[in-house]
Amino acid sequence: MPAVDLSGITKRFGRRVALDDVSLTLNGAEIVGLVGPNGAGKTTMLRILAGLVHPTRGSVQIEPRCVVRHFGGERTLPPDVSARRWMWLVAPSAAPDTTTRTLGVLSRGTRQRIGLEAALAGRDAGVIVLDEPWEGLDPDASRWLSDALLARRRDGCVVLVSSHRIHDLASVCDRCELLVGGRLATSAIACSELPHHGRTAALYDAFDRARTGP
Amino acid sequence: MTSSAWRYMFAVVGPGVSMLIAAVAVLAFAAHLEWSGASGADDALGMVLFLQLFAASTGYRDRLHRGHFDPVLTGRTAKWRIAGAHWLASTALGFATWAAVGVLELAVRATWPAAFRPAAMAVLVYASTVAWSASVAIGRYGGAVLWLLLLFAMSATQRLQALRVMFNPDPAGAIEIVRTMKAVIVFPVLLMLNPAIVGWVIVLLTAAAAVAAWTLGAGCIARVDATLRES
Repeated sequence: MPAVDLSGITKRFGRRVALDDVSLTLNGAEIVGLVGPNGAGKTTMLRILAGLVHPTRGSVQIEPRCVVRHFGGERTLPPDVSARRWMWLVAPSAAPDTTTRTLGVLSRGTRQRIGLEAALAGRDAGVIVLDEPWEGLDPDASRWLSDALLARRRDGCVVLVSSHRIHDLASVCDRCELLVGGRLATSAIACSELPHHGRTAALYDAFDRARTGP
Repeated sequence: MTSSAWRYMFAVVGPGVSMLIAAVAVLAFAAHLEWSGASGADDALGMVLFLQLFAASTGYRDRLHRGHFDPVLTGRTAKWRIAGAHWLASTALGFATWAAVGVLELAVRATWPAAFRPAAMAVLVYASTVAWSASVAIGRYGGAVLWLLLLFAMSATQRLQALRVMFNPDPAGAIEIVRTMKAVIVFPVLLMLNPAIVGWVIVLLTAAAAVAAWTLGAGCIARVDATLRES
């Protein structure tokens, strides 16, 4: 049984179709990238998977023993709560090392790092869903994130991550899915089969081919 | 309700500094009433109720669409538990202040305080829940502002006086019960004029109205999508 199975997901906001009959299966111990232009429906898809948004049609099946963790970016952190208290609430194991200042006064990069540490903390998560996780991170933090994602995959987690940063995705993802206009491209791009040297360029080429068709 | 959902909601929507200061000021006023001998601390209950209208109107949608509730909404916690945690975090300050006024009265006068009469407690729970439920749908302070506007409008058109005439604290027949509940639903403070003589039927129906209001608020929480909006 796959860890996550999204089947025939359609989401409408009024007359606008954000997702149109999207199906995706995620198996254990893999990192899947989600790429697409702004407004393609990536955030909606991730939030449906996390149970935050109800699909208009279709179903989301998650393996019963899987715990889902989701981080939608630093802007989703409540600004009036102290960073340590927030961490204590959502990821107690990582709380002692966190600053006591309120989240609203911290820099964007620091908030992003705190949110990511909470999402990646502990080993209870079976499914980790991250929306633009590299946004606002400095090079050291970006490297930490990539290493942490690979470590979670070794633990058996399935990770679904959306990003515009192709080179970061190329360095960690097993495969990438392309979402355009609310629809997934017919075939995923297997990153692990692309050559290490020049993988980012190869990934860009693969996306261009997927977008324009054979 | 899971303790983590409650703790999270209390941290995010719990009372801010201004509400805490207001609650302390009301308690100080109640203590002044008690020790000045003019009247009992019970006279401060109206102020607690006014404070609670605003304290309980924490709102839901605004924070929801900013993603502030994502950690508790992700996962398998039932929506009614999340609604319960949100309600409790929103109303806790008013309940605590109300209880403190009652304890003050009990300690100083050694008489059973009005705050702990069933009718008065039903008013508190009903008013808190309606304000909370309306703010879930409308936005922060929406429940309190709407209700006060309604009361001002009714007062200006003499309709508040009509409600007072309709109100019978211990009605006998079905028609009288309906008339009394109409008045209580709009202006529950009527139950606090003399809570000791309010009949059980009215207390229970007021409690039932509170449950109905909670169900509406919880239904809104269960239905609304946590889509992100740019702030």
